[in-house]
Amino acid sequence: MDSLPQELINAIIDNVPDRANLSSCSLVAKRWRLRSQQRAFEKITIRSEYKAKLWCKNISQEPDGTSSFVRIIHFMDIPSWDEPALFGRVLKGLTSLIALWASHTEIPDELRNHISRGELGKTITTLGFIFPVCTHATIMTIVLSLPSLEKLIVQDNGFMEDEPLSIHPVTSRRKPLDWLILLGYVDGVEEILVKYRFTSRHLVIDLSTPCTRQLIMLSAEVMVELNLYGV
Amino acid sequence: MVCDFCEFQTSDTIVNDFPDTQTKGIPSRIHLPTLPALATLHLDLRVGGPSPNLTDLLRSISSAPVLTSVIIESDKWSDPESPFPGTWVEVDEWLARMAEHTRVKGGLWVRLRWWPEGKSVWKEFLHRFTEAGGRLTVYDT
Repeated sequence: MDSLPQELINAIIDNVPDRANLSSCSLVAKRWRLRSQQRAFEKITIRSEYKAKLWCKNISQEPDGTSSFVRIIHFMDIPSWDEPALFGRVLKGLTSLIALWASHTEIPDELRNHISRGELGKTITTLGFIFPVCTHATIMTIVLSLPSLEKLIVQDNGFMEDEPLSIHPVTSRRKPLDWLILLGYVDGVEEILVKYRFTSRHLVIDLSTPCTRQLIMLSAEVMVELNLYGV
Repeated sequence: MVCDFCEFQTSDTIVNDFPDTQTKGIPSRIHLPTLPALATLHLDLRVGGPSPNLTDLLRSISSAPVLTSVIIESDKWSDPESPFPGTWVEVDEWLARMAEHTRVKGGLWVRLRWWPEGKSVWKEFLHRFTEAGGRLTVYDT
């Protein structure tokens, strides 16, 4: 076992499909541990407020930096937070985080404020909000505050409320997004994207929404793929 | 909803080359810029076949110089003459123009997605496109 090069060990671990087996791999030998843990915690899903609390508690007791292995986090089915600060507490310490997803989950004002002050999310390149519980302005405040954003996915059924943007960040001319995917009734988000002149190389959008043309026009020079629904 | 969109697209300067289309009374025109980098166009149809909306969209994108692939999909392809009789002919015309227009080596591919297995008359719908050098395929997944 000692003669195996680390690259080969890594390659084996990278082909292990699930967390249970990665757990076993981490016990094979010391040289297997780090990569196995990196893989096991690369993507985590928080499905309840209780699990969020548990994560925060466990991480505070982990001296070896497990939280730094997390690259993708998905909050699911938390339509309201009894303790809204938990969302931000989970994200704090995720120094390698590149993707934040939230499905059917409340995006609390506390999180928005943390991100807009630059305290969280600086490394995030992918942001996905699927039926979020918040206002359009909350989403866009977060979007405008993420300097490295490359992929934005928003889907809603029209229940998001409108409110004026709480911040007006001074934004220089943004680089084009790589992907912009807007599904369902996201008119308020589209309006703000147009206002801030967002562009994207890949655009997925519903033909019937009022700002579709403006978004296409803005991206005209850079767009390599246009995916139109509802034609 | 579509009309909401089209209201933004109104342009009096667009000339429609198809007399049939003019008589159908499409309320307004979609007018898009050249889209110089556009390589892939993916269109998900709301109805079971080509519509005036689709032909209008293809017209507006027909000058994209590096377009390589057009995917048209519907999860409920209907008979060729419904819901909008004659629109396959117009789609064929615009796709043929796009095939002639593209500067990409290898030409333009059109893929019809979710096309029912055994429904073999699709080549007849797009014969001008294939004559213009376009490549056509269907797949049912």
